[in-house]
Formats: sequence, structure tokens, C-alpha cells
Amino acid sequence: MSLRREIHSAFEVITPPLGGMPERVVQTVLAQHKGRQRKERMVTRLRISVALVAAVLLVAVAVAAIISWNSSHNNVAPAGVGLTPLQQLEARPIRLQVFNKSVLDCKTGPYNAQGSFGAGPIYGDGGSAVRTNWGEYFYNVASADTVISGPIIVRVEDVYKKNVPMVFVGPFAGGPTVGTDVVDGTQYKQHTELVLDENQVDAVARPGWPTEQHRFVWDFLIGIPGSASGGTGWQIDGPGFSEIFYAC
Amino acid sequence: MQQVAELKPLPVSESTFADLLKPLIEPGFRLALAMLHDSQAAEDVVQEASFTAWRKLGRMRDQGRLRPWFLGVVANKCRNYRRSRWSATVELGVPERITVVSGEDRTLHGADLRRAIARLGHDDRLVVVLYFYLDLPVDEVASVIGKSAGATRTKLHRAVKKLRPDVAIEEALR
Repeated sequence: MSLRREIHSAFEVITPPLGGMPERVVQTVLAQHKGRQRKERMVTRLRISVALVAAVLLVAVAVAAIISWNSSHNNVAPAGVGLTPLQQLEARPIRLQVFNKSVLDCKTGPYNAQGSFGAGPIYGDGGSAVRTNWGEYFYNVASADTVISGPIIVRVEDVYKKNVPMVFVGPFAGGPTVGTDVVDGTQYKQHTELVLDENQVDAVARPGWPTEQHRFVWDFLIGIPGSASGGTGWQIDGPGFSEIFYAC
Repeated sequence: MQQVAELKPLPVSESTFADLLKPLIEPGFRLALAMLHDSQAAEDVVQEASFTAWRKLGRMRDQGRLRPWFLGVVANKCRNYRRSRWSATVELGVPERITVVSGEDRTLHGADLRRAIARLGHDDRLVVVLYFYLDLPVDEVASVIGKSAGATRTKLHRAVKKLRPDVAIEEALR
């Protein structure tokens, strides 16, 4: 049997009958076209309003910060003094947005030229997953090519819902413990952070992974609870950088 | 990159759009299904690609190239869908190791072959599906992926070699 025939056979068994799909698809496009036009006009107006409110808030926050700093900087030790490098990174605020699809939807990315998540210096790639009663765990990969002196912490939040606990288990999981779970037969503590260090990387990248050519590679496990929306925002903080990407 | 000429949009009536798009839904769906292995996701992708087609159809200089252009849109939607899921291999049940086919036993079960195709990178999987499953000629595969025919043939060689190391390439590409 030729390869072409084998491939045809392999996919034909999983192809459902199309039925009236072509007509349905075309009619949906035509029907939603007018609705979309109205919605886009409304969203544009909303975005302008939200942008104005955000600008006003930003100015207010900046003024408050300046006043606060002026009144206190002579009496209080500078932030970070007495803290370990990791604690300093943990003290950085989360800058991830929580999106509302009807106002401003989340946009996946950015990516690097190889299609990995992130604009650097840390990049991410997705992998296989396992389900548990708690949720779903993903065997993901982080990588870096530049030398980074000091720890790097990764924190993840749901892009559409607040207070949904994303956790890390296994190697490189760190920070507060929020629970336990059994993943692939191993019991793990669930932590809220991923802590990476270039002095502790996986020795050998898995053949075939897009990161195999990278200088530093970390295989890690992230857990996403069943109640999550499925979209995640990633904030990666390290010495001298703070990086964000979204997988919506 | 898609071969879409960015010219002044021409008006496309709803009936013209329907006539042009309907024949493309079935190959688009087969492509998406082979790329994603999930019929619901495949239909969603084709629906999204059809929205894109409606918005951009008027800009196409040569509507005779509609099929490769539309399939290119579907392929890009598939890539974005898998990226956004962060779980590309989850839905496919892909094992850690793919069955290695010996020279004596060249018959893969369909499921093994689907898994093997799923393990290919997006670009390799795309050329394999377009050429072997949608039966597009190399020139049209080249149009979909935005490469020259020669480069496409090279990609096909490489993809087939990854998929079936033991198969004679020329035999496979015949």
C-alpha cells in the first residue's frame, strides 16, 4: 500500500460526514457579518472610554506614588534592602491583565522567530498534559540563551478570571504551597511559583523539542485547575528584566 | 506568507461569496481535521477562516488562486489554535515513543500513522497533509505554504523521511 493510500485510510476513518457544513458555515459568516460590524463599532467606542478612564487613573496613581515617596523616603530603608534576590523578585507586582472578552480580548503572544512564547530572555514551549481530579498538568519547557546571573521566577494567572490558582509541581516549583496532588503516579506539593536558575538546568534537552538547541533548558510541570478559563498570562521576572506573554 | 495581492478591494456579493466558498469548506475541514485531530476544533477553524475569507476576498487579484489562499488561512488558524491551547499533543493521545516501522513490516495501523503525523512539526505536517491527504500538486502546496516548488519538494522529502525513515522517498512522492 502506498504512503498516500495509507494516509487517506488513516484519516478517512476519523472524518465525520460533512452533512450541511458548507451551507452552515457560509450562512453563519453572512449572518454574523452585520452583527459583527455593529459590535465592532460598539467595542471601539468602549475602548476609547476605557482608555480615557485608564489614563486618568494612571495619572492619579503616579501622583499618589510621588507624594507617598516624598513623604517617606527619608525615614524608611530602600525597598529590597535585607531581602534575598528571590524575595526581591517576589516583591515585584504582578502586571498581568485580566481581560474581558466583550471589552478587550486577550491576544496570544508575543512569540520569538522560532514560534516559542516570549520576547526573551526566557522563552516557553508547550508540551503534553495529564488530567487529574484537580485539573490538568502540562509538561512545558522554558529556555534561555543569554546568561542570567541570579534566580528567575515565573508566575501565571488566568487571563479571564481572578483568583484562579495556577500551580507548579515537581522540579523548579517554589514559593508558597497551596495543596497537593498526584500527577502521573507521583505525589507533589503544589507551589505558586516556578523558580529557575541557570546553574540548575536540565542536563539534556529532549530530542525533537524546539528548545533542544537552547543553551539553558528547564522542563517543568504547570497545573491549571478545572475551573480555569484555559487562557493563561505568564510573568517572568529576573535580574534586570520583567517579561510577559499570554496564551489565550 | 500568503500570495495575496493587496490591491483595492473589489465588492463581493453574498451570493458570489457563497458560490466561491462552499467548494472550499470540505478541503478546509479535511485539512484542519488532519492538523488538529479534533472535528469540533476543525469546524471552528474553518468557520474562523471563512470569516477571514469574507473580509479579504475582495482584495484578491486572482480569484483562481482562492483554494491555496483559503487553505493557507486554515493552516494559520490551525497553528494559532494549537499554540493557544498550550496542549498540542494532549488531544491526540500521542505516546512518548512512536512505533518504529521496520523494513519488513511497513504497514502502520491508521492510529499509529496519525500519531506519527501529529508528532511532526507544523510545517512538516502541513505539507504531508496537503500533498498526501488533500492530493494537491506540489505547485499548489507551494502556494499554500508560500514557498517555491523546489523548496516545497525539499520539505516534503524531509517530512517523509521523518515520518517513515524506511520508505523510499521517490516512491512516496510518486
